[in-house]
Formats: sequence, structure tokens, C-alpha cells
Amino acid sequence: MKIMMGMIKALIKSRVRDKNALFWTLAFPLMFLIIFGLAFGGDSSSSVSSEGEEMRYAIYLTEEVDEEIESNIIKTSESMGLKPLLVYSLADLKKSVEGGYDGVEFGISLKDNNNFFEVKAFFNAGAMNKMQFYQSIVNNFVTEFRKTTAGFENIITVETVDREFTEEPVTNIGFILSGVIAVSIALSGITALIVSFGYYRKQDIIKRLIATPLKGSQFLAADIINNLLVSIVTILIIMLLARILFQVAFNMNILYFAVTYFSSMFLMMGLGGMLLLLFREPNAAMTAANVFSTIMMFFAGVYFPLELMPKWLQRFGYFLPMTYVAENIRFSLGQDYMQLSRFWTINVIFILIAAIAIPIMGKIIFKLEQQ
Amino acid sequence: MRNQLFKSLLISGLRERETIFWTLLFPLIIFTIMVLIFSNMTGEDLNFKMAVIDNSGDGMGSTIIHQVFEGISTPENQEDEPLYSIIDVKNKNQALDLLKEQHIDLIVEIPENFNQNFNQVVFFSKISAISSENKPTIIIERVPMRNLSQIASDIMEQILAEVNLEAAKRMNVKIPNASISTEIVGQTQNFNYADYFLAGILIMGFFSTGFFNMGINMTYFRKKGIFKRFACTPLKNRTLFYATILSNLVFMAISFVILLIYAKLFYKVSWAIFYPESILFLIISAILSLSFGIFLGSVSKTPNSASALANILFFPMQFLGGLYFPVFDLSPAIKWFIYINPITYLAAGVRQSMGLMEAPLPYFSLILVPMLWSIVLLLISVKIFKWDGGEIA
Repeated sequence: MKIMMGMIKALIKSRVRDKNALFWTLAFPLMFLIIFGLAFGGDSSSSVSSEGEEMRYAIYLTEEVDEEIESNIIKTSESMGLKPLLVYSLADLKKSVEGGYDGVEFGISLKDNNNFFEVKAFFNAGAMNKMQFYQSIVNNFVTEFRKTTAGFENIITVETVDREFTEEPVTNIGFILSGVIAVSIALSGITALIVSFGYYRKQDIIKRLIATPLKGSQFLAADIINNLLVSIVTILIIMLLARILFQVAFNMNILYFAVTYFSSMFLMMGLGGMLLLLFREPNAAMTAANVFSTIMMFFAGVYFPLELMPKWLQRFGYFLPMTYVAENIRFSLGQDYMQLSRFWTINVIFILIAAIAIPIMGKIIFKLEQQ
Repeated sequence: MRNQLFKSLLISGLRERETIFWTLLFPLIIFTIMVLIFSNMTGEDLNFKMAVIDNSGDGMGSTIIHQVFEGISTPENQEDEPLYSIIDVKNKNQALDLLKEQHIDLIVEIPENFNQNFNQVVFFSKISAISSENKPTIIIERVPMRNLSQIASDIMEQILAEVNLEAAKRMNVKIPNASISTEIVGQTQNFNYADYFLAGILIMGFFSTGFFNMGINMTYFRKKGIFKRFACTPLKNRTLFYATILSNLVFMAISFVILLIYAKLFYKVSWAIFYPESILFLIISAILSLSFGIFLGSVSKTPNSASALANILFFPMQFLGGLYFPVFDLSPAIKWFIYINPITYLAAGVRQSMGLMEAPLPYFSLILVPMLWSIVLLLISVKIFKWDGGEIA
């Protein structure tokens, strides 16, 4: 036990002293938390009416448009949670859309051609990621405007009920930040054994350890504990910062989170170990791990919604372990609901893979060193 | 001799697998990922699953609604998936369970009094005004935090709005017609994601060479006492310094050529990157990235600390510099960083000169801000740079 404690201490010290490793395990996830939190924190929903805030748009009406139509436009806008900014030329309209003046997000020009309305929507090329959303608002706006102009009240009304299946209401930022935590776990897990087994092996540290009474299994256990401790400290700091900076209070189920954390870390360590076996050279294994992590980060639905991608890319996403790590983390932090049977199945599979991969990797590395 | 030095630096760089990977291959991977994601995120493959609960029994209103649902759940071609697939459920509880477990995206409920209210509106609305609570209502239940559920609900609302329009026409209400067209502003040619990302990833490649090659090389030379050793030879330290700059510029050129060939072959990018103005912005990018490298090499004592500092600076700069996604409409809390970040100006400048999109910034600032950064970084570096500091191993 004393040997183990000494080993863990030494490994932690070595990790803290290595500025580069510290960047990847601590600073990198924190930076992502701050960047994504600040960048996307305020953009919560794709529905205009549910925003609570009015959306600003610029409108240009041609000369033929009379006061009655103008008032119908205002009425329609109000009913849809839109705030029009009236401009007096097409050039001004384009300018305000392009420059986003006064918070304008898109523009509409309207021409009355003897009760046939020619509507033109103007979108900013810089907001291409929101174009579909704006287009759908313009379509809705035109439908509503036509009905308002005809003095026609809807025959069928629609009542939208928002369902939450989590104990506490979920915010957009909480949802994104739980994904960032999943990324942090995956990154520190996948690189963990490459750093200790790969680089220590290269520096002949493992060879020297074999010459001492320390067993291979003790070193492996100490290294795993070291990685788990460093990673959990990172996650706690992320959560604390999320709370302080973005007022995100995760509704954590400690049991589920602990299970997800350990199974995900073990799985990722196992995958990292397999990469090390495959490439032998730690730099090559680290590079492969970085490529794999980058691909996982983008295709696992953490930063971009998987559902909007074509089916083949969605299927590819479902092959990536980070997709499931993110799903489990969101569930255990109260950010989404999932079936308990699914949750446990994923965790059991993770642990089974790790239970096979990590000992095999440890054994082979030690054997290689003994030879 | 100078040529020899430059050659040997270049060859040693090309022999390092890590350098090759991060400066030459990694940009290709990121480019592929970004183009794949953004050019495919069109929602063309969308298929929503919904449960319909009809408590209204038989009647004209519910028949119309069912006809509409049949239309949207039948694909245009047999091999395609419909926009909405209707999942059979026994009752509301089952539907809610399915929604909770993400087996469906939406529940559409037709309430018990729907047909009765529908008939009342259709037959008596001209005689007496119908209060809103007596109007036939369709209830849509969704999970707002789930993208698919949100979109499914938005589209369903649009479909039901069209049903209302159709009903109005049948009731002889004169609804004015309208046409909708679209124009994208701030763009001077057809937008292409591959061109958009080519500009961003080229700048990313340049900066990673400057930050990681130049910066780390300089600290390495000092740490290993190479500058000191040079002082004992007829060659001046400055020669090594210039050779390092030149070898990094060649790395940038190689990275440019490889990415361009790859993007041209597989993603059919345009030649707009060769417009004189685009080249000007790329040259400014190269100068600025080397300035950052020199700065890092001056302030860091070891290659390890230079690498950590490079990472800390480079990640926010690239993500909030508009290399991968538009940044000008992001939250106001982060805008200050976007506007002081020189990469913002370079990315906007290259894209504007390629005719992809107008930069929402004054033209002079696109050149002035990065150049000012470069001058300030070089002045600081001149002030604090030391040739020695390391030990001769």
C-alpha cells in the first residue's frame, strides 16, 4: 500500500510538472468550456416564440404598400415575437442585414402588386448556419401575414406543449457543457496510458521499475488511479467554473455519474492502450489518439447535432464511443433522459472492453520490457 | 553555407513525423471533417417520427387532418423515407413513454371536442364570432432541447398553417397570394463550403507552423545551447535565425500546395485563392504567424512551456477567429475577443478577396490590425529576446 501511495504521488507530481500534459488535461477542456459557453450560451432555441426575447428583422416596403398593410405587418410581427425595423430603401435593407445593425438578423422586402405580395428574404452570408432557421421564420411570417391581411382567423389553432423529462429544466448551455465534460473525459482517458506506458517505456523508466520489487500490476493500478484523480479534479473545476461563469447547476445523480465516469475513463484508457500496442512508438500513438479524438469530437453530436447530418454520417457517429460517453454524461448530469436499460448496457460494454484491453496492453508492454 | 543551413533545417523538419503530421496532414483532416459536416448539414435526410392520438372520433375536421398526415407520411419516391413516419400507439401514456425514450420526436393530439368545434367554426363562424377557446385545437407535444423534436414541431406548425390557408380558400375567404424569393447579402459569388473552409484551414495551417515550429524551434535552439555554439563559428546567430524563418516559410508553402491540391481534387474548390488580394492576406498571415512564433520563442524558456503557451493562445484564437464558423453574430460577452483577435481580420479578409462573403469590418482594418499585431509582437520580442540562456549539452 505504501509503495502504491508513493507511486501515485510520484506520478501526480510528474503530471503537474509537465506543462504540456497539464494543458491537455486541464487547460484545454476549460478553454473549450469558456469558448463554447460564451459563444453559444445565449442561443437557446430554434423557435421564435419560445425565445422570450423578440427577434429583430429589417423590412423595406415599396411605395404601393399602404398604411393598412403596414399595420398588418406590425400585427403579424407582434404575434410571432418579431420586432421590425422599418428601412426606406433596398440599399439600407441590405446594409442593415449585412452589418447586423441594431441586432437585425435578416431582412424582408415587400411589394404589393395589386394584392399579390412579392416577398424577398435577405439573409447574411456570414450567418449561413442559421439560414434554414431564418427561412422557416420568413415562410411562417408570410403565411400569417396573408391571413391577417384577409382578416381571416385560423380555423384550427395549434397548442404547443414543451415536455421536460428531466427533474430540473434543461438549459442550452447546460446541455453543451455536459458535452464538454464528456470530451474532457474522453481526451484524458485516451491519452493517459500512452503518456505513462509509451513515454515511460521510451525513457526506460519501466525497465528500471521492473528491476525493483514493484509489480507490473501495481504500476498499472497506480497509473490508472493517478489518471482518474487528475481527470476528476479537471471535471470538478469545469463544473465549478460552469456554475460561476454560466450559472449552470447540473442536477447530478452521483451513482450514475460515477459509473459513467469510471466506465468511460476505463474504455478510453483501453482504446489508448490499444493504439499504443498498434503503433508502439508513443509519438505515433499520441498522434493517432489526437486524430481519433478530433474525429470523435466533431462527429459524436457534442458540438454539431448528429440528427441534421445525412444518414451515413449519423451511422458513422453511432460507431464512435464518444457518442455514448456524451449520452451517458448528459443523462447522469440531468441534462437528458435515457432508458436505464440502455444506460447500464452501454456501461457494461465499456467496462468489458476495458477489462480485456487494459490488462492485455499492460502485460504485453511489461513482457516487451522484460525481453 | 547559409543555403546549407536552411536546407538542413528544412530536411530535419521534414524528417520529423510529428511536424509533418501537424503542419501538413492535420489541416487535410480538419478540412475534410468541416466540409463533410457543414455541406451535409442540410437536413435533407430528415425523417421525423410522430405518434398521433385521435380522441375526436369520426368527423370532417379529423378526416382532413388525417388526410394531411397521410400526405406527409407518404414518400415521393418509394425508396425515400417520408418527412414524418407515424408510429402506432395505444394511448397517450405509451406515446409519452416513446417521446421520453427518444423513439419518437413528436406527439400530435386531436382532442375529443375537435370535430364538434371544427363544425361550429366552419358552419357558424360567419353568423357569430367564435371565441378562441371554442376553436378546434391540435396539441403538439415536443421536447425543446432535442433538435429533431424542435424542428419536427416547427415544420408541423407550418403544415397546419397551410391547412388553415387551404380551409380559408374553401370557405371562399379571399386570401392574397404571395411569392417568396431569397437573396444572400454580403456574398459576391455562389457560396461554397469547400472554398470557405479552404481559406480558414490555410490560415490555420500557417499559424500552426508559426506557433509550433517557429516558436518551439527558437526555444529549443536556446535551451540546447545551439545559439551559443553558433557564436563560436564564423556564422552569425542571425543566420540561423533567418534560416529558421525561411524554412518555416517553405513549410507554409508546402502546406498550402498540399491542401490546395487535395481540395481541388476532391472538393473542386475554385482558383479564387490565387486572386492578388487573397495572396496578400495569406502573406500577412504568414508574417503574423512568424511574429507570434518569434514572440513565443522570446518569452518562453523551454520548448515545453512554449508549446503550452502556444496552445493556450492558438486555440481561442482559431475558434473565435472565424476559421471554422461565423463569429460576428456570437454572444456579446465574447465579441471583445473576436475584435482584438487578428485571425478574425485575416479570415474575413481572405474570404472577402475570394469573393465568398463581404467582411463586416472596414477594409483598412483587415490589413491594419494584423500588421499592428505583428509590429507590436516583434518589438516586444526584440526587447526581451536573448540568444543565450541555455546550456551547451
